[in-house]
Amino acid sequence: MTDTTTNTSTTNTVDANKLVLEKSANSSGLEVDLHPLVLINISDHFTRTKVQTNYQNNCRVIGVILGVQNGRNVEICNSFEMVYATVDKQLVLDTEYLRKKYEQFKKVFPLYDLLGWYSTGSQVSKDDVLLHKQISEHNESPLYLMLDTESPKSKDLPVIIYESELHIVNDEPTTIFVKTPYKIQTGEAERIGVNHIAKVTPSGSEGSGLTSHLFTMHNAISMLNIRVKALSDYLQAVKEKRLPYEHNILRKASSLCNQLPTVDTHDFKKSYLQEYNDVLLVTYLASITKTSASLNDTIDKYLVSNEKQSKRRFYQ
Amino acid sequence: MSKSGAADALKTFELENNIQTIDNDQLFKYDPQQYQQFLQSKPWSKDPHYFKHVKISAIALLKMVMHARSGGKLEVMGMLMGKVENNTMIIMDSFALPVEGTETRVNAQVEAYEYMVEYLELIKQTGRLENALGWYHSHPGYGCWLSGIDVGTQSVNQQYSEPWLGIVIDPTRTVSAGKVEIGAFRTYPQGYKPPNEGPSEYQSIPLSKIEDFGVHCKQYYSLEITYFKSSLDQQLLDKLWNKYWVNTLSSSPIFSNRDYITGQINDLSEKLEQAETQLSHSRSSILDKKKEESLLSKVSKDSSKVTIEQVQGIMSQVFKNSIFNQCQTTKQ
Repeated sequence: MTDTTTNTSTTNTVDANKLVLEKSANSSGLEVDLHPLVLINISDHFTRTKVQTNYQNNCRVIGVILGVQNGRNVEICNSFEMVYATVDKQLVLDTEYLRKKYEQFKKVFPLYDLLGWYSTGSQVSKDDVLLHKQISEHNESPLYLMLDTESPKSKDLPVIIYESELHIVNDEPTTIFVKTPYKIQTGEAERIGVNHIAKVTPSGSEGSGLTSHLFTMHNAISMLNIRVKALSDYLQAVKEKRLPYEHNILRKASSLCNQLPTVDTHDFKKSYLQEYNDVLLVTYLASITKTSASLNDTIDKYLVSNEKQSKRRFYQ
Repeated sequence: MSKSGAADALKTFELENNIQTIDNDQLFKYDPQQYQQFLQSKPWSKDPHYFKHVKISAIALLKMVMHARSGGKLEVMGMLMGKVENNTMIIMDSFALPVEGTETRVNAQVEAYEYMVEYLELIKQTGRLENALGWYHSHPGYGCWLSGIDVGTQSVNQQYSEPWLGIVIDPTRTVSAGKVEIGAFRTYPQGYKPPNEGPSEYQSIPLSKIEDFGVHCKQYYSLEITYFKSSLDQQLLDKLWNKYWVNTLSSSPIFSNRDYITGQINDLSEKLEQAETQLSHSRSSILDKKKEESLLSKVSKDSSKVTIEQVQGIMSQVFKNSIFNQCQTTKQ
């Protein structure tokens, strides 16, 4: 999947005991999109195992991640758990199980390929390298997603995705994990689903969902506001020479500002207005329907009462 | 909304949730012995209305919603796994079956059954002890209820593999309304007359399906749905929001669901025509149909629903337009 680069030039700089290579930016240009479903799936797997084994601390879960790869774009869409055994103090994956399960998975989601594996933990260990090798039999260069379940109270997601690189250390090829940046990606239905479980717990169809819709909008906009404020605070600080002048950041900020207004073309305005008018028209039609319905009801009622009156008169 | 007010609300929410999440982790535990005992006692055989509540785990809901959406306009189907606690059915997980298409394709059942058996066997190896507890399928665009064939499938399963639950999910309406449209159902045994509950909650159903709905709607009842998540889920979801708000801002239900909206308007016009003929013919028999809602008032409800969704959609557009397009650069 990712190119395993045999990078001989850095031979001397790589520490033999180190398993993770810290780099500012990944060299392979891999773009990873991660779906929340995978996160919740791993979390579910972990919680279940934890509760089932009565809260033993060292429980660790392993599974594989699946998704779509398109050139240098990787989208991690789903995952399932793996069965493993401990043989000679080493973790061995059940390949037969993996094969069967993968076959089954392919029947329902034919587009998804095996992309790598996941595990819980906070640090890469020697075991991980061995597991990684076992997964390599199914995918040339798998990804490794690590979820830190004992996450400190940081604001970031406790998820790290590694890709592996082959380095020559002491004249021996060694697998080194390299951190890869990732983005959270969601489909429309997934977004609503996540919102649903994250915020609203009571079910039922009461109300039109307007409140929750406005609430999420409000949250998103205030989030944007916080970000913009942070940026403007920074710029202010630079202006007052409290912070050093960093061209890179300033250039980015400037390009961001220049993007506003985002879409200001004639075509956009036209279709925006059209959309707006469409909605107004629908609203108008709906109110006509409602009015005629209530008018109809009123006439019905009037007729009923009138009929009775005339009958009464007849009998008198 | 004031900022402190929002923070307070969040705190109360968290407080309530924390209390809940501690309980919820226990929900993931499965005690086979206790469960077998419960199954032996068969409390549901005495009361056809025995199960009243459904608890769905976060992962099960997400999997179902995404699977249903991936089917597009086709119906998809899958299985539910979980356990039972008193009169609550707890759905722990769900998985998709390789069946899609219209309800008339019955021969797919055998294939799906084989798949299901293999799946359940495999999942036992991972240390999962729960059993199949029901099935779910999607009704793209026409609401959550059981059709005639669904009622048949459900009641057969309720006879042979109790406890059994049927869940229906509507991915199209989910996207259009901005909230998950889902229903959980169980059928009554044959010949059972449900206590007259009066007209059930109104839902809008396309004209082509309305007959199917009307004929069978008294043969089953719906269960109350709640959701649960583990404490780790909660943590992850909270942190997810930090990366997530952009998607909320950039999504637009109007654009992603144009077909469905057009279809809805079409359906409305057909219903209106029907209402018109009914009205012009039945002027004389007003007295008979006092209890039933008139067709016209139903249509007006449907149209209000469509309008509400549309207005919600355009609202997001208006917000975005005023934020990103109407900012003015202050010239220096």
